Amino acid sequence: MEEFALQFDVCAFDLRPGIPPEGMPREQASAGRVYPPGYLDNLRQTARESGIEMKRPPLIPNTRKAHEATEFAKEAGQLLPFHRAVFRAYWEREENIGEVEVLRRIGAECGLDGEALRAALDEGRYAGEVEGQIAWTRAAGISGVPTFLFDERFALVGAQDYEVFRDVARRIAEGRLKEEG
Amino acid sequence: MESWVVGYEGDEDVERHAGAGAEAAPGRAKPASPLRVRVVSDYI
Repeated sequence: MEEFALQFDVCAFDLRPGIPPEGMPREQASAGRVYPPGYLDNLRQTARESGIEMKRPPLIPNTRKAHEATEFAKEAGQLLPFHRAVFRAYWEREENIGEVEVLRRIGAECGLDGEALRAALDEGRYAGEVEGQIAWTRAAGISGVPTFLFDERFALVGAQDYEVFRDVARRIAEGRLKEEG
Repeated sequence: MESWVVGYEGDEDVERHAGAGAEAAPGRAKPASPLRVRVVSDYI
């Protein structure tokens, strides 16, 4: 048996600055961008191997409220289920996760108090916290997501194979990974 | 402190969640300190 005790946390990142609150059609947001042939096929295959049927939602939402809702879920002790549920809602069901009502429903499905979540989003209770996290990522020079920070000292960037995570976790646990710089 | 245990047994994924004040599973040594993993990401 292999396992690790993890204290899991998330930090908001603004991947697409400038998306309006109502979102933006993907075609418009991606205008002028060039992607390598077949890159989506590889991404979908990797997702499929993890049990995720990844689509290509036509709308790119403004994710600020989703990040705020994530903070609400964190305080309520439901971070991981909520985090996963928001990803699934967007990438599998193509829902607009920029909408408060969508987030309220996802939260309720995860066992959160949906109306309390809505109130927190409406009043912007976590807006400052999320803004602070995004500012920190910029100051830290983080430009690729996902970035996995281990013990706030070691970073893995990108969707790596589980073997890579296991190797890093083992070496940290054994004290064999040394800080550089 | 809330913590998650993620791993696998054979071909089966396992995941356990311990809320504040939760006890370690019987027969299992409780780790001295869990590995802290913070994921920087956006949902899109």
